[in-house]
Amino acid sequence: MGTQTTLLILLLSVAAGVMGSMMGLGGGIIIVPALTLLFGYDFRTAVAASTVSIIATSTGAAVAYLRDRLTNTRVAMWLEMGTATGAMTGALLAGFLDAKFLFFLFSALMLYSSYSMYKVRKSELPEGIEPDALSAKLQLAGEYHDQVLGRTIRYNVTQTKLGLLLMYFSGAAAGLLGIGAGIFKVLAMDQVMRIPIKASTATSNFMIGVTAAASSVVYFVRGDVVPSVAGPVALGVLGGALIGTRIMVRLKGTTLRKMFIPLLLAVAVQMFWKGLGQ
Amino acid sequence: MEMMEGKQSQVESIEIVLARLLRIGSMIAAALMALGIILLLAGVGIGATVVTAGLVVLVATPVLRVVVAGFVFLRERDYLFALFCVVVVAALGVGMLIGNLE
Repeated sequence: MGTQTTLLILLLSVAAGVMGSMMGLGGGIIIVPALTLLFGYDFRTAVAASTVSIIATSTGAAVAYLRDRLTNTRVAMWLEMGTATGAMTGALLAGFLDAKFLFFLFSALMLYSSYSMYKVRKSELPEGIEPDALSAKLQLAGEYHDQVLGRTIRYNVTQTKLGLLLMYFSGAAAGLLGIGAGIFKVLAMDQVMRIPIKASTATSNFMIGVTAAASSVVYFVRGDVVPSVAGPVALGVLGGALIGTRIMVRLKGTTLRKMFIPLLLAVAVQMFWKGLGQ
Repeated sequence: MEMMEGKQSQVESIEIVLARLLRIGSMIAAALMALGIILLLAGVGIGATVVTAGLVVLVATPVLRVVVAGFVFLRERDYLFALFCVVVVAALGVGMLIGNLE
């Protein structure tokens, strides 16, 4: 383990942290292929390091997004029930389900999502959203000050129950597939619950650390967390998250949307590829 | 209107409490990991242990965040959301047990 490798992993992780914190994702889409293909680490070490890095993105970014009021903590707590119980189910079902089928199914879902994201690429903020009864009861509506638009954005949240159900399935799927936990959350909040994209990514960011923490404990016990790899990855991602949050609050919602389109396509391809290999 | 303002101040306070917790957690974790990596590179034996300590702090922070959020909701007499936090912690605990049994 040389100084040069450590520095390279650090730099790469900074980049993953910037991207992950801006888009509400863990950054595993960069970390896992880079550690296995570029640095030759085995898959288990890479996945364990990537899972720890999800917590780093989440924690590092949440500090800034909470202060900016971009994170909707009530929506997060409501949906975390879905992701946490879903992840639990995923752990129970692992080995019983046909992973190949799941990979193809979610690959198709990502492909469709990139198309629906493309369709609304010019939409800065959702308009005319009425809260459903449960959303009103749980007081999920939120507000934040948008630096780019220069005004306070007040928004309602809808399809509260469907959102929770989707979180349950995404939690289970993310646990089974080991990919996509953040993307599913952003999509459900943006496209179904109609939360503004910036609040959706910030809230997703806030949430992904919790389920990743539970998986990390499992990896720790299995001995998959290698300090010389996971340490630089987590440190780099933490630093990257500080940069990413500053960039994100200065972006237009539409810019963020456009960034999601190629990302969703890339994940669709990655999942299809993994499905073929099953 | 007054009720809405009351709710508003509650939302703000939970965000400040959680932001502080996450900042402290990530700063301790970052300091330990940075120190540990330097020691690792210098070939000092304890380096890996120090990095691991930093990683443990990092992993514990989000779980602690749910617990603290639960207490904040309890303080605000928002029992439904406090219950949500209990559900999350319980599901995480069971998930961990299942994962470790395999």
